Amino acid sequence: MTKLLSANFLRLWKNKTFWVSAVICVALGVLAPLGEFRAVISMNGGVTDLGELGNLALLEVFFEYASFIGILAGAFVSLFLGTEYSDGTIRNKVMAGHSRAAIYFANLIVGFAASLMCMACYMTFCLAVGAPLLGWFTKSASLILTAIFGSVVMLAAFCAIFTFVTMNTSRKSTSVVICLLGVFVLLIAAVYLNGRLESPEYISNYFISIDGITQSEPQLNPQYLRGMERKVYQFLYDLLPTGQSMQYTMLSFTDPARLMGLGLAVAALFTGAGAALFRRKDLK
Amino acid sequence: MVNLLSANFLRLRKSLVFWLCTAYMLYDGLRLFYHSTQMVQEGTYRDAPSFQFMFLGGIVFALHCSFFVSGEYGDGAIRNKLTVGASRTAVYLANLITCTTACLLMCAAYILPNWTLEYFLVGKTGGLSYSKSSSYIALVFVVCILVVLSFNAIFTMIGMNIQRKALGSVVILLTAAALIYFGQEGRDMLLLRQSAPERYSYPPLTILRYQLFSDWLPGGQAIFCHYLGYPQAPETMILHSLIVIIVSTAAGLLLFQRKDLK
Repeated sequence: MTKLLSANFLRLWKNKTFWVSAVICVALGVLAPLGEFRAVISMNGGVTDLGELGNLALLEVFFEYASFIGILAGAFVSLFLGTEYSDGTIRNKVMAGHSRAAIYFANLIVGFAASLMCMACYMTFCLAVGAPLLGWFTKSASLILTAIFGSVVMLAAFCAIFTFVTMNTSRKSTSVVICLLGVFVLLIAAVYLNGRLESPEYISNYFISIDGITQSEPQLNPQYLRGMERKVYQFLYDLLPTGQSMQYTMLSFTDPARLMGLGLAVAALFTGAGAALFRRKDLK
Repeated sequence: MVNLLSANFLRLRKSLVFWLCTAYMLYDGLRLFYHSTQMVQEGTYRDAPSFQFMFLGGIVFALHCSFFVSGEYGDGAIRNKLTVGASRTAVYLANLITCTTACLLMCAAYILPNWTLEYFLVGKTGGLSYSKSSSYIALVFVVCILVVLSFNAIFTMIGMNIQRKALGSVVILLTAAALIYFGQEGRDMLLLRQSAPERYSYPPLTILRYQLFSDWLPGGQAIFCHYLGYPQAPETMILHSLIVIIVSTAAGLLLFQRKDLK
């Protein structure tokens, strides 16, 4: 396993896709706080001493990585690990005597490590550029550290899913499309679930008449989720890595332990299933 | 060129991805029709006819284009076509025409069942509002066709100039997602500025960026179709689309002419 990891990391340092992903994260880490600074100044009437406004803006922009890291990891992991099939590397590793389980876990670890490094690039540069412009965080350190740790677990869940797909699909282009499309579909599902969960319990209709605009009595919203239906929607929203990414981006989570537990469960489930399928796969 | 198109359409007919994308569009059209029957029961309504497929249509078109165009490199088909004497321009344009036709067929798979079922079964019950004139809808329809062509022009430009199949697929899909995301953002920001210009004043470069993604590039134009042409005029969108199509096709052709096909 050590030799497999060494070989994987050596390949990683020379991999163009990894460096392009890292550069993209650095660029976003620099541009995001700059853009936010300009927007906040504009809303503050041109005053550069932002105070609490700046602190909140930094918090908002710092966790934006959670919204795109899944897509970036999907593209990188599928391209990086998919090359092993097209180049015949997996077959060579098996012939050299490495167990399929060791190959699978070594690939999972390097995919996760690379995605984590890209995430760290964004966070580092975002703080380096954003803190002097927008000020420091005023929210509690425990909240911020919990969100960071939770998003690491979320990233592990993403990487487990992408490794499951890529290691069990012989064609690189197919695994790339499945990973990317899968993230988009899960993102749309998460947006839908969030929309339903955020629906208000009561809604009012507005009428325009000769007397002006009048508002009707609030009525029960048929879209509002109640009871068991609400619990199911909330569970799915917390289970989906994209749902978690939305919660970490907006810092709107209420039960971080549950989110991390579900993230670990998804990672464990897909890793176990992926390794089991890979053991039986015919490596043509 | 005729031979190239015949070969492409034969390949298209046997393409699983094409049929899956078409099936998805058909499902989406029928799902929205079912949703409109539910709206009648709830006493709500929405505007018709529906161009809602355009919102995520870019992703579907990207999926098809990435497999169709990038697949040619992977199979060595492009080199074979050039070896038998086809010009690079003919190969490029044949792929563009095939991908565009395929995407228009997918749109038809949505429009034909959805529009006819909604009009004849739901239209007269008050669940749908046909408030826009036929000529206006026809203009939005023309914009829709040009947006499909614009998407395919950009995806073909990318796919024909990236030799690695998997990388080409990634770039095409991410481009589609970025066009839609920034198109929506540009539209929202410009609408906010329209509603409260003193509160939402942006630097000139930022306004240009929002206008580029919202009014010129196909992502924002697809969202324009989705909202039945609000708030810009369709004629402006038609002009913008034509310019983007010409520029991206010319750029793609130029790059492909000089490409070293290893």
